[in-house]
Amino acid sequence: MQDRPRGGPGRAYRARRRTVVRGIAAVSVAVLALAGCSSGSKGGSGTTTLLVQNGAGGATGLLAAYAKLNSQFEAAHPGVKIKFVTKSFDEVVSTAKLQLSGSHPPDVTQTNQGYQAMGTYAKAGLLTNLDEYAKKYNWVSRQSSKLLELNGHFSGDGVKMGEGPLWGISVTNAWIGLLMNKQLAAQLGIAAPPQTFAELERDLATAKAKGVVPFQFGSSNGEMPAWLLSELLLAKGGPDAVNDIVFHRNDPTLKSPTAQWAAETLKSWSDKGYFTPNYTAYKTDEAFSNFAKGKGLFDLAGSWLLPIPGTPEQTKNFTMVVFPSVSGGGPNAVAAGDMPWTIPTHSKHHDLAAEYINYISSEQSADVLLASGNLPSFAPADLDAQIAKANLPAPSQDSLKNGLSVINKGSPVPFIDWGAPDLYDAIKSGFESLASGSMSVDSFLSHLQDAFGPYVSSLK
Amino acid sequence: MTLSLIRPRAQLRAGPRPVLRRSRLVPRFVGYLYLLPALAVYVLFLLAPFGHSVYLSFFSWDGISPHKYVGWANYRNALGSAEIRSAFVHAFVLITFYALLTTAVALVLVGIMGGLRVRGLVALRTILFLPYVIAPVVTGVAWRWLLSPDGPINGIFRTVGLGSWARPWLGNFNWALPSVGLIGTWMLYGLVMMLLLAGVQRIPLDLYEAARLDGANPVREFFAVTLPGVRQEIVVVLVLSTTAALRNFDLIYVTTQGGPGTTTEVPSWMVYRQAFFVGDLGKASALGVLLTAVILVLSLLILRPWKRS
Repeated sequence: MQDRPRGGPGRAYRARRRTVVRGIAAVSVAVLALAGCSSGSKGGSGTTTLLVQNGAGGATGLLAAYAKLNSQFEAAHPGVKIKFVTKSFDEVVSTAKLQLSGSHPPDVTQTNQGYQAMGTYAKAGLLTNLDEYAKKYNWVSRQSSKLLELNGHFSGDGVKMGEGPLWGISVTNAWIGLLMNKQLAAQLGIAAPPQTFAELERDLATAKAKGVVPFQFGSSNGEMPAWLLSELLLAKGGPDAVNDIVFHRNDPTLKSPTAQWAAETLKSWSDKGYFTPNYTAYKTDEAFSNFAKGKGLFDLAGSWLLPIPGTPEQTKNFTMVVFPSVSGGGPNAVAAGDMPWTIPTHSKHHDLAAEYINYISSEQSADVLLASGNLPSFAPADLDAQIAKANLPAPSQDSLKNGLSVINKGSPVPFIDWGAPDLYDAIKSGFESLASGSMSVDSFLSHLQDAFGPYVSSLK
Repeated sequence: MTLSLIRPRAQLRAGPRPVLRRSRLVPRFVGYLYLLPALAVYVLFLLAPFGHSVYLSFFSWDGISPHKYVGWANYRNALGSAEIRSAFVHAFVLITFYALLTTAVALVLVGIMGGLRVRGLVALRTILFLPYVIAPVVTGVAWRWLLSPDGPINGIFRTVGLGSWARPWLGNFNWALPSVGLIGTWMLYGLVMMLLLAGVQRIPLDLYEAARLDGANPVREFFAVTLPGVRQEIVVVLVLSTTAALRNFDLIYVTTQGGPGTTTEVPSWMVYRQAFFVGDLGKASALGVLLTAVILVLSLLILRPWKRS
């Protein structure tokens, strides 16, 4: 699966726990990249080389799928050669500004979503407007408009996310789901995954009372507090509660009653001891691996973390379901595309680049992606057969099915921290202070609003 | 020089002197010429980028759009922010670990090793020096494991019946910063010890003999001979370790990422965050310039007393 925490603009720097200071390496990498790019988009003897850059470094399954798609594309286009450059997510994000503004960018590249990335590049005129291509290839019928809005639309002035022209399109997706240990649940007398938020809280209380860690949690790298806050806002206020914040619609504020409820819930879960003891010392992957070892009834996880380590026999008792809402409606979840594919303005082959993007986002490509355990942007008609063919462990199958149901039948929403660059840090530090009692619910919300409100006004 | 000293005064004042001076000037210029390659690199890769940072610190800039001049606003905002002020306070707390504790530990080791007459001293020294050779990132990852809630250190506490001492060191509001400081101490004491040992080896042996003849015990000997003998090395060590403490980034990045809460946020972490995460290069530059200024002032303060003597 994708080794790709979905995160807001640049937030994956820390989310990915890369051990090297990428920033320092950024310039040298950019220089190398530019040197690499300039070394020929036109090969010998009439062949055209399309330079395609991805940020999926480390995601073996996904890269294998792309390799297959690339050779299919080359077979269908005689005279075209794909030069597929793989970089880490961090590298693509941290070098994008230099690369896109240079005169030899890749012909096709993945570009991060968000105000700091796609918005800024669109405003600076560094990306190609894909509206014409979208019409030509009918991409609108292929992906839900919600997904396209989330991942590819931005106003030309870089101010309005989810509106204006289409600049990019995501081919695979990731979502945040609730992992549940069914074996532990059965021992606790819990028959099925919770359908409503009340049921979830009841299960948490049951686990706590019987001495089982109710919720595997780790706040050390800040992802899980941001995910949980997003899911709680979504559970209480529905998709608009999150969308308004991220898309800056309808005078958004984090001092709303919904946010108040979410903060109080976070606080009460911490007070009641629902989270892993000493959770401030754990990172997301450590919480995940503790859950995989059978410690804890629930965990919040990104679909890219799957498959759960272990033999099929060991992992068959785990499942990944949609975080339940207060009303029981849904299915809604935080679900966003992988970095969207874009065409830099200075690309040498715009039309061919569009054709390539069209190919990797097509239905037949979706089958290839699904077969390697990746979550495509839409469900093929024969979804169950395709999943069965992929021969994946049970929790990964659940993740694909439930993720696709969110994307196609429910509402995928972005990560709340996409709303403003400072928000991620504010959530992390604020959450820990809130949970430890050194910050009240009110001051927690003010802390978030301080990181959010001024940024929204600064864009206007 | 020696020639001119034995010349009569009058002669010195008259004729030959200007000639002498001119002939001395020529080699001095040649000296600068020798410096040129290094100087060029220094200017190109250090002074010029620093100058550019100072320039950028007066602008609001996202890296692509046109610069917007904002005067001193970036500095005012930085100094006015309680979070950034506390980041500097954290850096000063780290100095006590990186510089003071490290030097104290290294001095004790040097004192002990100076008196040791055993085989394998070189091996022992090498082993003690090893932590410095390890990349800070690796050090951070290793210590993150050692200090984790279920890690070996808490395990030892529990085994010997001190279970109440076990805690999530790096996730604890009170202990995270001292824990990072201790990791830094562990990382640096090897280097500091080596530098001090080099100094000790320069101290003439007869000084020790004299001290011994006067009836000094090893402790007295240490304070009377060794410590004054390595004064200059201590100054170097303090400058190096203070600088290391102030620009500490890798350890924070790997171990705590500024948490829990904001208890381990340090200036260089915030520079990184502002530049590559928030995308505000002006503010990041202003922070970087402030950090450089603090390092310069502290280094000068440490170096001054030494210069006077």
